[in-house]
Amino acid sequence: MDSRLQQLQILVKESSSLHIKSTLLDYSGIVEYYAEDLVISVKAGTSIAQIKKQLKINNQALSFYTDNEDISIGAAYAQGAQDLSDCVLGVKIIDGTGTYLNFGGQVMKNVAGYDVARLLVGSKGKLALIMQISFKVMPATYINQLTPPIKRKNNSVLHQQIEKKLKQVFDPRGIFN
Amino acid sequence: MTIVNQLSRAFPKGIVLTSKENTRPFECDGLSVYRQKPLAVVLPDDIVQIKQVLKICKINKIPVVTRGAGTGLSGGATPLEKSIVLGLSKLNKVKLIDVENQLAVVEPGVRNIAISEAVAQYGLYYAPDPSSQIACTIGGNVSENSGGVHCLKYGLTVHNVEAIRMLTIDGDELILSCQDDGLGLLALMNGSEGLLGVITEVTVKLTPNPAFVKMVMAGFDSVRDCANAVTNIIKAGIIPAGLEMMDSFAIKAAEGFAKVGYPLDAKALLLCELDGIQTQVQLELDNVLKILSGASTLKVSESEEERLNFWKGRKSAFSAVGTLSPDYYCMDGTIPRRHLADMLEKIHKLSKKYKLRVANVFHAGDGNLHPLILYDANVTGELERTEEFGTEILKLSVDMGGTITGEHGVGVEKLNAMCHQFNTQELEIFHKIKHVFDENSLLNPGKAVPELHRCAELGAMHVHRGELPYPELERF
Amino acid sequence: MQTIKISNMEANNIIRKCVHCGFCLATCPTYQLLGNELDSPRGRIYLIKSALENHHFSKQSIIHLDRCLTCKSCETTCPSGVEYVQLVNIGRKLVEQKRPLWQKVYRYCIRQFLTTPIFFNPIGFIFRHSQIKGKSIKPIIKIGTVLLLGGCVQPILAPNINHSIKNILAKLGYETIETPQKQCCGAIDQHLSVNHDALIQIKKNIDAWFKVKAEMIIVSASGCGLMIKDYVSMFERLDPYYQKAQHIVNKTKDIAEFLADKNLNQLNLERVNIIYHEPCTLQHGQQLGGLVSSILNSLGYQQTPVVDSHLCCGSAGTYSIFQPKLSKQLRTNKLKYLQIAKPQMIVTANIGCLIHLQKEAKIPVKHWVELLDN
Ligand SMILES: Cc1cc2nc3c(=O)[nH]c(=O)nc-3n(C[C@H](O)[C@H](O)[C@H](O)COP(=O)(O)OP(=O)(O)OC[C@H]3O[C@@H](n4cnc5c(N)ncnc54)[C@H](O)[C@@H]3O)c2cc1C
Ligand code: SF4
Ligand code: SF4
Repeated sequence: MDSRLQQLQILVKESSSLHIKSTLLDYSGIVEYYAEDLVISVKAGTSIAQIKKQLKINNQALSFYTDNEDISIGAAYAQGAQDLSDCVLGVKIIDGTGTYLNFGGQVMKNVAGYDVARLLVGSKGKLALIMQISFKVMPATYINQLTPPIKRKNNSVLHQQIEKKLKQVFDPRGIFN
Repeated sequence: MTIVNQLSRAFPKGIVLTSKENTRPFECDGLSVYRQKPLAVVLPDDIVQIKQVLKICKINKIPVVTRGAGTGLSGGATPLEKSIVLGLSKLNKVKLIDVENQLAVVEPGVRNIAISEAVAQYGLYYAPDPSSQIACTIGGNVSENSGGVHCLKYGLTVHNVEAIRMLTIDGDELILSCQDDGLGLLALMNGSEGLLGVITEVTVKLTPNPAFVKMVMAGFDSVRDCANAVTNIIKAGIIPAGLEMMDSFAIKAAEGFAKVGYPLDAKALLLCELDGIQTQVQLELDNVLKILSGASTLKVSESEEERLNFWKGRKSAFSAVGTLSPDYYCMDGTIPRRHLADMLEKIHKLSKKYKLRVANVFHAGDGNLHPLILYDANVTGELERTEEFGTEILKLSVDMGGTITGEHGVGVEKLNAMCHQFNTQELEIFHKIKHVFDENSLLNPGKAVPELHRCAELGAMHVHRGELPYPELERF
Repeated sequence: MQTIKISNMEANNIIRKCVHCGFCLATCPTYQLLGNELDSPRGRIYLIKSALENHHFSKQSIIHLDRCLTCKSCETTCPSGVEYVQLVNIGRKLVEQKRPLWQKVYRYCIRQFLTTPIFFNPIGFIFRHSQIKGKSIKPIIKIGTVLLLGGCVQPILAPNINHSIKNILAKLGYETIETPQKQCCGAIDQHLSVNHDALIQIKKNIDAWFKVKAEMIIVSASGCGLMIKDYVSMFERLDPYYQKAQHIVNKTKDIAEFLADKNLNQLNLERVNIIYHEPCTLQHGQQLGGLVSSILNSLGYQQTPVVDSHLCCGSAGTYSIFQPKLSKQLRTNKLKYLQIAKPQMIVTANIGCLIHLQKEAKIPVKHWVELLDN
């Protein structure tokens, strides 16, 4: 078992309030990369630049927009929008109770259970610690000009209520802020 | 007053079906081994009526099972005991076509292919194309996050939906857009199998027709060679629009119906479609032909008609297998592409072990397998053997790093297999998500996510880091 | 699908072939209009299955079987080869016993009216669609003789169709013998599930046609053609009529099949902008979809594809009489799509469709062969 992972689990269990940042994580590196399967799994602290470098060796690339390559992939995921969500295949998280959970996987088609891997895109560090993400990657030649995605606030009361309740699902003690 | 009476009273004639003889035809979906008669079937004309149904059901605490076209292959639309079936087939209008932004707004009961037909005049189409596209509805597609033969390049339903309108069980309307800041609620609804809400409107993204399309059909003398060809094409940096495989049983069945010129003596068949601008397609085509040079037959489509014919065979293959066997059981495991050849060999071995024939026809490019286990439901014991066989295949898929279902959903059928793929805590999160939307569990309850005690009974529980979760649960 | 103790083996085998995939829902005209699965092929198969499995079956379900047009669109769509119409015929026989008396009487009267010339002809004349145009031609050099099916309603309603055919055949060197009106193909009886009467009629026809020395039996109404081509299935293998029927069927050709490989250059064509409506009995029944279009194309008639060309126009034998509402709705939709390109004339290949469409169409509706005898 990964010792840093266990440390983080304990940290979450013992905290009553936690602000998630990349520096807190200290958890980075490329876990698996199967170029012929168009899939890469990375620890959330890995910088986007590093991932891109690795992909470039096989003429592959990430097919979502990033404006800052120095940030971690976990941060990009937590702030992410539709274009990033479209490439997510799976995610491993530590929830607010310190439990390590795995949703999705490394295959492009997967409809077993709710799509938590995409639900948490844009969760802004408020629901869970994002630990590891699997992405679908593409041959660089297939990627057109990438543009910043549009994001709008959904002002419906019901929408906000649901988001609030979903936070309670993942972070019942309300420690992530 | 019983719920049936309340419903009958609330709506004009022809909307509520109550007699046994009239509700029986709704007792199953595309997976007809699971059957259950509902209390009543309601076929509303509009959204106001849907709201009314939900209200009556909520007051009476009666479960609601939403139904599109009932082509689902996992029992998602199979009624539950003492439930109401809410059939949306009458909501079948294309409401708006926005050519400039390449969007269409449609009612949930619009058939998948009807969208493409409606927008064809503008040189557009709706990309996800499940083989059942002639019949299945967009509401069903969103609920199952359906794929198709073109999703390797163009994505699944989730990638092609811009926004939806849905009703919660309380009858409140929720509008979700892919541009919403915050959590991916729209993505969550994709593949939620009717457990979170009733989808009442879908805005789909449209794709411009490709400028140039070519299709290669290659027959192989060995399944392994064919599977390897799949990996090699992707390895070469080519993303085909579609990359499909069939084995000899499936080839024979499909050819029998569609008569499109598939090589009947081949052990495996590969269909590879390339699209884009002409120069690029030509380049890729040359490349693909080189990779496929070991094939026993090799043919490139010469006309649009021929290309569509090649697809026709593929898209009718499932149902055409009905000519080989009275019943079939369709599996849907997805595995990393690199394991394709091994998996197919394992399935072949299992087929001998269980003495049941298997026809394979599947989305090879996505690693999404569809072994069709052929059996005869009228022979006692065969269905049970088939299910056992199927379970083994699903477990294999998970063990290879894949999933139990790529596009057909869990429904009632793969509940046991879910226990193999997810541990208790993960399943619990799923239950809690359901609870957020549907406190009293009235929308398609019991489907898609197994109850925890079910997994415990199966003994298939994930043992998580050496500790047994829920030690208080009784185990058998 | 699994079945539970169905004793009718034929029905059982058909139902077992259905995999409940639902593809057929998409192309069924009544499902498209009504959106109720009970009015779809899969729903009807299920209703029949339940009835055969001895579940309760009442007049509630008869409605749904009655609404079926037997257009066979579902059979064209079904990848699993389910012979739906054969099943629905079995189902209808079964429900016929449960039909309310008033309906039985009504159906009996209509059937007698249509198939008995002394009843039908006087009224039919009033509703005559078109007169004979031009004179009759005799072949100059005779290269063969064919038997032309006269039909029961066509000679009264649209006599020009067979008149045109006789002239065309004469120009091609064939002499025609026309069957008398009383030799109805039996389709009307069959439609109304009076199989017994249909069988008597069919046997009479077979005997009569057997005696005629003609190399081919030509049919200009695709509905009648389909019925005749189906004669073999009405007899058990050991029935002496089985062989005879086989012989008749082998000789029977739709006029399009006959003309497809002939040199038609010598014919005088009527040059108008047309649109062709393909009858279900030709495309789904006889599986000759596209044949007439290709002949018309080769003769220089421009064709634009018709939206929903696979759907029935609502005529469907006696359907327009018993299901007027649905029938009209289907016709309105059909005419809308047929007239998108603003043609001057609609042509078709079946008397039923012709009369039915003409009732609402503002432009003339003709049999396509009439174009060829100007
Ligand atoms: C021969 C055959 C081939 C197939 N091929 C493919 C394929 O290639 N790819 C693929 O992905 N699938 C395939 N399928 C499976 C099936 O067609 C899809 O799952 C399809 O999306 C189901 O659509 P439907 O309208 O029939 O939904 P149904 O079967 O009626 O319902 C499916 C689920 O969605 C829910 N639902 C339906 N409408 C709504 C709504 N408006 N709001 C909320 N919930 C709703 C239901 O409750 C149910 O859980 C195939 C099926 C068959 C029979
Ligand atoms: S298409 Fe054929 S197999 Fe499928 S439901 Fe209809 S009749 Fe049955
Ligand atoms: S015959 Fe025509 S109307 Fe009848 S079920 Fe088939 S498609 Fe529908």
